Amino acid sequence: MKKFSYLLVLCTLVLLGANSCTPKDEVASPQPDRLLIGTWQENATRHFVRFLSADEDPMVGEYRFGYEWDEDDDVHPEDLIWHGNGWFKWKVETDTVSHKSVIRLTEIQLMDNGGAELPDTYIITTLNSTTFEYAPEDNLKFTHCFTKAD
Amino acid sequence: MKKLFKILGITLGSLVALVLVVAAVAVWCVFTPDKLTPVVRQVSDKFISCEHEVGEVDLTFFSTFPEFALRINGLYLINPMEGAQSDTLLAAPKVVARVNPVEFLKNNNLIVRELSLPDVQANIFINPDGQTNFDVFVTSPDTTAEDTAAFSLPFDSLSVEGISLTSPCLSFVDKKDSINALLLNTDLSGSVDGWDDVMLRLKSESVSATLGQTQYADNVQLQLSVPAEVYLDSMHFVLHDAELAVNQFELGLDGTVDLNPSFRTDLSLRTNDWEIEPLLQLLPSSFTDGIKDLRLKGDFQLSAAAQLNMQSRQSHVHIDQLEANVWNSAVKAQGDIDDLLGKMWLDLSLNLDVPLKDVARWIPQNMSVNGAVNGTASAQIFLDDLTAMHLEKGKIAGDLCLADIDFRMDSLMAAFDKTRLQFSIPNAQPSRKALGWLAATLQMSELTFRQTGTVSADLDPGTLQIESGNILSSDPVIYAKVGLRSSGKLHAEMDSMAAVMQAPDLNAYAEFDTKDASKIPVLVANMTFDDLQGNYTDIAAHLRKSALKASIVGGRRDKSVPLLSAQISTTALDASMGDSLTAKTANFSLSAKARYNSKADKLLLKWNPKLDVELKHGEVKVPALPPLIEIPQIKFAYSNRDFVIDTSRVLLGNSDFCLSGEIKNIGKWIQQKDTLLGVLNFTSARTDVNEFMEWFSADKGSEETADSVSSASAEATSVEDAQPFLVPTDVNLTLNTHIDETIIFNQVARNLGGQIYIQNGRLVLEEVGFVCRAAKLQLTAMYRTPRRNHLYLGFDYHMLDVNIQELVNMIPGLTTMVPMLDAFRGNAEFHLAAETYLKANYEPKRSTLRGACSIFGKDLVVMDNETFSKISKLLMFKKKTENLVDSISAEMTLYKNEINVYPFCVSIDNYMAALGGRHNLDMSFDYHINLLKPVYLGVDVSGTFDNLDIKLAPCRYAQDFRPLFHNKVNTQSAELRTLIRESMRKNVKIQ
Repeated sequence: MKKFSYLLVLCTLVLLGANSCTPKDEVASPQPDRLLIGTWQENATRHFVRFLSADEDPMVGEYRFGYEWDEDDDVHPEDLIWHGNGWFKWKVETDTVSHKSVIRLTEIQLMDNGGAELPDTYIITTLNSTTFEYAPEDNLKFTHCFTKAD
Repeated sequence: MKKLFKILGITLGSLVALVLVVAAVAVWCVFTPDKLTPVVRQVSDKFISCEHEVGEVDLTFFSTFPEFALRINGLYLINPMEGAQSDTLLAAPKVVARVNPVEFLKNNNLIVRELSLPDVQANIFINPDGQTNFDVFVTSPDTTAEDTAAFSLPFDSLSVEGISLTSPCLSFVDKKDSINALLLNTDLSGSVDGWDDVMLRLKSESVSATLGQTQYADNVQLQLSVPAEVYLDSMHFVLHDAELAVNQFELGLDGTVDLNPSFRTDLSLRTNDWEIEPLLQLLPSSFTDGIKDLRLKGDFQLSAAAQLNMQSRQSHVHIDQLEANVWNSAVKAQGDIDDLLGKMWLDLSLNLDVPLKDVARWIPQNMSVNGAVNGTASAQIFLDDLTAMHLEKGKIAGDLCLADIDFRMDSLMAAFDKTRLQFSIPNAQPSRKALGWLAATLQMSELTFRQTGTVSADLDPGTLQIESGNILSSDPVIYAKVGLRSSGKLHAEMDSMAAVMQAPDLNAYAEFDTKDASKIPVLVANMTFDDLQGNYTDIAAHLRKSALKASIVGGRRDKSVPLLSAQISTTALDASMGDSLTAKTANFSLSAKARYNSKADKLLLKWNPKLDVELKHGEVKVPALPPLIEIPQIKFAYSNRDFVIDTSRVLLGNSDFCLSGEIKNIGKWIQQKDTLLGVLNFTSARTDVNEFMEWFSADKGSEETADSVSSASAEATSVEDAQPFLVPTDVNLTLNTHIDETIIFNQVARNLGGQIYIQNGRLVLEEVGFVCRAAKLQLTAMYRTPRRNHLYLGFDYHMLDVNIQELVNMIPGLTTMVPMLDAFRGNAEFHLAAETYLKANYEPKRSTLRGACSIFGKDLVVMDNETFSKISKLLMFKKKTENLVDSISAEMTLYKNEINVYPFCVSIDNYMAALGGRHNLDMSFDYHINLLKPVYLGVDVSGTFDNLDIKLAPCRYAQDFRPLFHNKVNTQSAELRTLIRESMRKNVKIQ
């Protein structure tokens, strides 16, 4: 009985420990960086973000490139200077925090005159073929929601 | 002639001999006609070889003693020859002679008191072979054979006191020399008292004579009175006051005539008043053909001496006085004429009074001259050259008074009132080879000159010196040099140029083609004047007390393209160039060249000017710049290739500056074919930048097309009225600056210096520093304008000794990027590297905001009382604590709407806190304040200053937290500056 109790507790612990930390909003397979690639439009705005694959723009280290523009600000893709203002480097990492799997998006903003990099990190809360949501890591209250545009 | 005299002499002698025979017979016979006549006939048969008839012979002696008088009632000599005008050689109805036989027999002196032959008809003929019909007297074989032997008479002396012959018709025909002469109603009388006292009078009502094909006399009246000495042996004749009259033309002769071995004369002659028109009708046509079209009318009177030698062809006439009135002209001449039989060399001095209409026929048909000339002239020239107006082949000179002159030639016209003209042809000392034809000086009252549609000039009294090429030749190009001096005014116009000059002193050389108006005339001029007002198309100028050198010539390859050069120095100048430029100056000197290009549309490209200018106290107005440009001093050289400013000082609007340097490719830049290059050095005591930006903005963005410009303008709403400064893309200028005081936006900056570039569509300020109320600043910045509504601004900005309040006032929108600055007061140190795109009204496009910033502040006053009160209550500050921050050192990054404040420490009172978070441009924020001393606890502060939310939160920073200074700004600053320079090397194509 005592052994059975220890075994029961152990199984329970195993079961509890084996539970997924997948947040409520799931990030579906395949891998999140592949899902990100493409053009996304922020909901209720004309702000667009395009994540490029390595084929479209070669990687620098572990970072791929992307760019964003806001047509509400009269900024268009043809206005952007390659790897300048509006461009960023990005990577996606999956971490386990408090037994929970966290997808961290790191973006490093670039400037027209080069050299200066402004890094920031976000937590991706939703990512599938149509929806992409993320919030700053240090302020998860501010979530940005995007819909796939292409 | 010689033969004629010989024959006449033989005839006369034979007659005399016959008379003597008759007289002798009469002595020994009874003096009856019946007795005498047969005897005479017998004797005549012996002396006369041709058929003849002697009429009754009547001899008287005693009634006429001591002289015989013999009358022959009819003496006829008939000697037919083939071709002769008549078979009758001589038909004398009566021959009467009175002789002194005693003197002849005793002293061999033949004295004929009277020899009368009334109503004689003679027909003298010489056939082509030289045989004569009057060689009818039998002579000795010796004298007959030697025809050329010297003639001698069979008596020692001859005295004929009276010879009279009347004849209705005397005819002489010489087939050998083609001479024909006919005298009708002739009355001949004479006397011979020794051969040194011969008197011959001849009067014939009608004389006609031809020589060859030339008729020298045609039914003219001839009178001849010739007292002479005759030397038949040498055929030398001396005339004493001989008089010859042909019709109304009388000629007096004195001198000698020689016939052996050839015709020679040395005569003085004088005429009465000869009318020219009837004289010309009298002369053979061969003499008058050259002047038959002249229709000369007038008269002249001549007194001269002439020497003529037919053998050597030498001739000379000395004219004592020739007075001629031809048409309306009066001419008196003196001088000499040589080679009368040849080209006729004239060496004459003239007194003239000539209306110029009279000489019109001698000037080219395309010229006309009216007016009057009087004065003196001289000419040394051949007559042919004179009549053909080849004046340069002789020497012509004159000192004339011209009145009311009107000269026209093709499109040229010149008119002047009373003028003294001194001239010489050719020009003995031409200043140029082409000016060798004429030298002239005119002292005139007024002058008017016109070339229709091209040139006009009017001159007040002055002196005009002229040198010219041959204006009478067929060369259409006129070469002329003019020297003009006047105390009055000169008004001149040429094409669209006009000038009025006061007190001109001018020397000008000109060449212009009277036939080809497309060729630019050559004009080289030097002048000084008291005052000049001129204009050319839309260029106007007014100069005072000036000296000018100018030239206009046609281009070497294309003569219709004008090349201009000018050098001007003046004490005062006012000038304007259409609506493009007005200028005014005191002392001014200019050296200019220009080449006109009619195909160009821009003024500078049309004229291609090259200028060297130095002026003082100038004022310039150009449409591109609203205010007047004042130029206290300037010295520069300009061409469409480059513009070099040696020194300049300019006052423009609120600004003053000194500018030097060089700008290149101006012409190609205007044509949009090349980049405008330049390096300028700019120093100023005061510069208003706001004014310059307003004046010099481009029309479109560097990446805009005309369509995008118009569509952008149509679509713009809030920015539709904005006119941002757009950087031109075809300009590469560097401006090294030092400005003592600069007005920019609403601030005054001092000691501003640095470099400003415009290059490849970018405006860059490199390490420009200045001092203002807000701080000491150093700025490196870039401004470019891809689109009117997409303007880029990036800068690296350092400020020391910052007064935060002044800083916020100086940079509008700074609180937009760094909102929390508005909560601070005091001094700080500020470093900012940032970029953003701007709208047309310079409002930042927040989605493009990027930047890094660091602030170091000491003794700052923080926040407002209400906010601080909330915190101080929560943290239980001492009441006396002021909101003073001992020190603060913070770094931030800016991304879109968000400023990320990296954690930093703040020390107030006994407290030390670490502060970090985000501050949004909408003035909301989310900070975490981690109290480190005296207690360790955390607070989250969020919301806005008006709606603050403060709550406890878990501490995020370690108790010994000290922030890491990432040194982002320094790194970024260095990289920014480097990359700004590198970005300028990118090629931007000019569109």
